[in-house]
Amino acid sequence: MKLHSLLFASTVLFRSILAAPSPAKGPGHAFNQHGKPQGPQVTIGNKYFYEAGGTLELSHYDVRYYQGQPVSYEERTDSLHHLVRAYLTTFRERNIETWIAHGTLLGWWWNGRVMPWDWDLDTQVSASTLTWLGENLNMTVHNYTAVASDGSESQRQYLLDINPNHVDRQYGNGLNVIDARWVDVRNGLFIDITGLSETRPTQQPGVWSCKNFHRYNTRDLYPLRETMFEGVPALVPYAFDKVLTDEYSQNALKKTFHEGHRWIPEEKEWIPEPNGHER
Amino acid sequence: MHEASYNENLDENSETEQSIPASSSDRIRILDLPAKHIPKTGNHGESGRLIIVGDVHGMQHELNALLDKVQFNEQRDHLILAGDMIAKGPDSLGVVDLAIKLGASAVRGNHEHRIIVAHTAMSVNNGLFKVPPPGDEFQRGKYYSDGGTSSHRDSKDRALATLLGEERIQWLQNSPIILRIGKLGDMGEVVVVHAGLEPGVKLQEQDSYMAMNMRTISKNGEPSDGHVGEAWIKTWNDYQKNLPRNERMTVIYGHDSKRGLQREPYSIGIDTGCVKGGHLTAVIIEGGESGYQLSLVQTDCQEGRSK
Repeated sequence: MKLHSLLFASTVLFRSILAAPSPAKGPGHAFNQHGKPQGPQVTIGNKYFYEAGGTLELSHYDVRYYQGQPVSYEERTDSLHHLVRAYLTTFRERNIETWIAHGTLLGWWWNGRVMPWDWDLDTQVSASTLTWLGENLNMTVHNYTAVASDGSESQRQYLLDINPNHVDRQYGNGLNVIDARWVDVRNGLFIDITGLSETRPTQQPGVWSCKNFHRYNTRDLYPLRETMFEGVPALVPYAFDKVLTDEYSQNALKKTFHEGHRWIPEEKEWIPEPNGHER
Repeated sequence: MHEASYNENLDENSETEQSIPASSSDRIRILDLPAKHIPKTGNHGESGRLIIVGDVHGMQHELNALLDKVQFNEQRDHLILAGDMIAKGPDSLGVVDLAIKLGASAVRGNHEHRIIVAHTAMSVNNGLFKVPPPGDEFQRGKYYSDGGTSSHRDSKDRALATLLGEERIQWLQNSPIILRIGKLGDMGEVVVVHAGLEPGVKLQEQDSYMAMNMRTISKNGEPSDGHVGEAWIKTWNDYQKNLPRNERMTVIYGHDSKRGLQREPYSIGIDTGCVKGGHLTAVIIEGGESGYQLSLVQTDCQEGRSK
């Protein structure tokens, strides 16, 4: 889903911004005088979202909020759990239709949770919802109270950022296949939000696709199913098995060892293998 | 905590649509037909018959005509609808009402399932979503709060769910995905399912989406809802023939009107495209002197789809 074709030069350029104590004033991404975060000043067609680095690991942080070092396994798990809960809850409270996709949908299929080796999350919306988001909620910050397992509460903030290139529904140069992001402003971890539309309504009615060429039939997506993800209400595509096997093959729904984690059926959880290798 | 609430949901049959993750999404609703409906063999002048009809698709007039033709006896006979009784045709409500009135059994087809899922989604938050003003690729439809689509997405499903109303939906929701009739002589265990079953997989472990949607099975044994590969009944019948006689199973199903009437030793496909102006088919199972007799009766149908 993601492109890691980031130029080294831009990584260096943005380092200077990151050095500031908070996601602060800089030529690229800044807060305005009211403290409202601004999107990057880009011309349409250039890459909009920048990740913290070209390595696989650093590509999972939004550069504006990257704190200079990757988060730990535990912090990531906690961040992604609350990231997606906040997203789903916020969208539901505002009656905005969204559903979970790609690797995140696979995680849902296994146990209704983020897979522990996942770095970022994927959701989808219809192109019309994306337009609505761009006009009504772009660059808004959302407060959320995270409750830890011991009952302690902490306040978190998430930025909803819509890529202005979303109006162009084509793949183009491939730098703008992600339409929007929901970013944890504490560390830059994010959800990629992609809009789906009928790109060829007359030639191929009922076929939806995102800019990155993932294609779906209307009847496989709708009616969306009510379910739970990470403990909060969520929606998934109607024919989720089909969507998953088309993208990942049957094997992804059977394989019980992934990325150093083993599926424990009794606990319905992925547990890290001590030596990280398949037995 | 979410796991726990999910398991509770599973126990209430009507909530399986909330379906979900994993392993549990494979959980499939199976019901046994009450023994009183099973035809008796031997000298039972009074024994009733099973009348199994597939893919009525709202063609109530045709269903009535077929029941007349088989001289359906409300007291003794039992009607089983093999799914897709609603949608496409003119009178989905009438068909469900008739089924309820006759005390019929039914299995869920892909159309019932869609409606149930749409209904579940609508009952949460009223199912209303903010979408943008007209001018985008969608037309406005009245089943979204401020827009949506009439030709795309699930407006049609939502419209039919609204029309059917709570009581009929509840009845549809109570119908299983697999109805187990029981052992009937040479046919072995007889089951009714809307689309198909994967051979060699226990009933409890069948995939519910495939049970309502499958058409083919690929060379490497994966079921598909498309038209590519061989009809699932080929693999199914080959498999049954290699089983000991007392372990064989016969499936009565609908769903595939392109193939039409399909009579194989261990499967009977009865979607004969009534709503497209084809036929409506009934399988009649009755008890004879020493075994069970099976017959087929058809009526002609008018084209039922609105243009």
